[in-house]
Amino acid sequence: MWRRMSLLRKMMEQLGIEPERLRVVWVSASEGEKFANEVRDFVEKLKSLGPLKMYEPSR
Amino acid sequence: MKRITIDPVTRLEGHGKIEIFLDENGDVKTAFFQVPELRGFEKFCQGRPVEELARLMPRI
Amino acid sequence: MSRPKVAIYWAASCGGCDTKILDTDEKLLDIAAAVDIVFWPIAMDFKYADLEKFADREIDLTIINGAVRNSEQEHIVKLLRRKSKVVAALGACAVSGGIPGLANQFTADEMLDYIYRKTLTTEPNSQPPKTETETEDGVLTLPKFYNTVFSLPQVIDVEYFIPGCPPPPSLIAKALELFVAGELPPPPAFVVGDKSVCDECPRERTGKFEVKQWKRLATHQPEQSNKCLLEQGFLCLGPATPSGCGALCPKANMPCEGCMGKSQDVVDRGAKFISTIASLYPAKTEEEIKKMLDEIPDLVGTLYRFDLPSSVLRGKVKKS
Repeated sequence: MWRRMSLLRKMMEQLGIEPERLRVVWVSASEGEKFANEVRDFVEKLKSLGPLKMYEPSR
Repeated sequence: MKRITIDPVTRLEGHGKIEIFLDENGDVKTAFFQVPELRGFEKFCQGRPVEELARLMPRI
Repeated sequence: MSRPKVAIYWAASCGGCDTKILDTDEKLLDIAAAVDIVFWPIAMDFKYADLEKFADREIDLTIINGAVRNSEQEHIVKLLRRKSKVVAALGACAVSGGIPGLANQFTADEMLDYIYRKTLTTEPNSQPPKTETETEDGVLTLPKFYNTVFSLPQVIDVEYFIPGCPPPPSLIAKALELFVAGELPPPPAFVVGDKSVCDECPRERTGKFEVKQWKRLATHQPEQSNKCLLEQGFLCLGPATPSGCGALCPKANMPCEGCMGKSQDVVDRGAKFISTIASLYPAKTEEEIKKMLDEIPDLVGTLYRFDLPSSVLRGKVKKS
């Protein structure tokens, strides 16, 4: 799984999308605190990166 | 002043346009050949692995 | 009874597709006898002004090869769409963007700046061309060079697709013969085989295999054997590519480049092939994963060689 994610991250980076926007975490249903912390941390990270810019075709 | 436009140039590989301006006597005063195409191989091949060039270049 | 009218146009093209139409050899003579070719710049002297004179939908079939990446190409393909009953996209560039589509990793300014000012052989004081140039006698015009390379279906409606770079003459002949006989399938339709290149490839796999190292053609040569090239560790796109070409490249000891595009049941081919790469490579530690990534230096160029414009991500995001 990490192999696919790392390849996808490399592709995103090559196409100008910050690789930090892809995060994969293993959390089970009984790890409520861990889940909340991960999400909180990821939201902070995304806020610092700003809105996602996808490729916009233009003439 | 008459203007003759030949667009597109045909029966060769590639795109071309010819503009000819004639003077009052109907003789050619100026003539221009333009190439209205660019794909940019010079740029998008940069940074690629060297073995890719043998695959990309024939597509010019 | 008048013969059906056929127009053939090249947009951002290399001329290979037109050459392959000619490579249908003697079949072309039958086709040329059955139709009226009304526009074909590589072979016949019709002008854009002649196209303007057609009534809407007067042309029975227009075949367009090449991607759309400047304003003249967009104008002409839209003009041809109005004047035609049926439009077919011929070749990887028209079907999915093709090799020129790799330019979607750059903006127009980046490309023009490098090409017209900075290559080793560019003259000093050279400037990129302008869309309008004043001369003593009149204004000369050139099309606008776009930021984006578009595949043909991204600009106009397209009924038929004949992929390949170049498309195999057998598929071109088949499509034209069906057209002449009035037996084209209901659109949209892709003129390809219904399997993958692997099924046409004579090479052999040893059942389930692993790839411990992705090999580059720059440093490794394929074995003189009948072994599957993917199994040997080369990034052969055969499994991700529809059949129809007869697996020409693997037969010549070269890994499939994927020029026949993606199969229609896949949304994004690069994303799908990432799964293939990952599932074959037994990397577990961070170090092993890094080694795998280093072995594929240009992921985008390898996985989207012919179809970057039609992929989900489509191009490189411009830095603001």
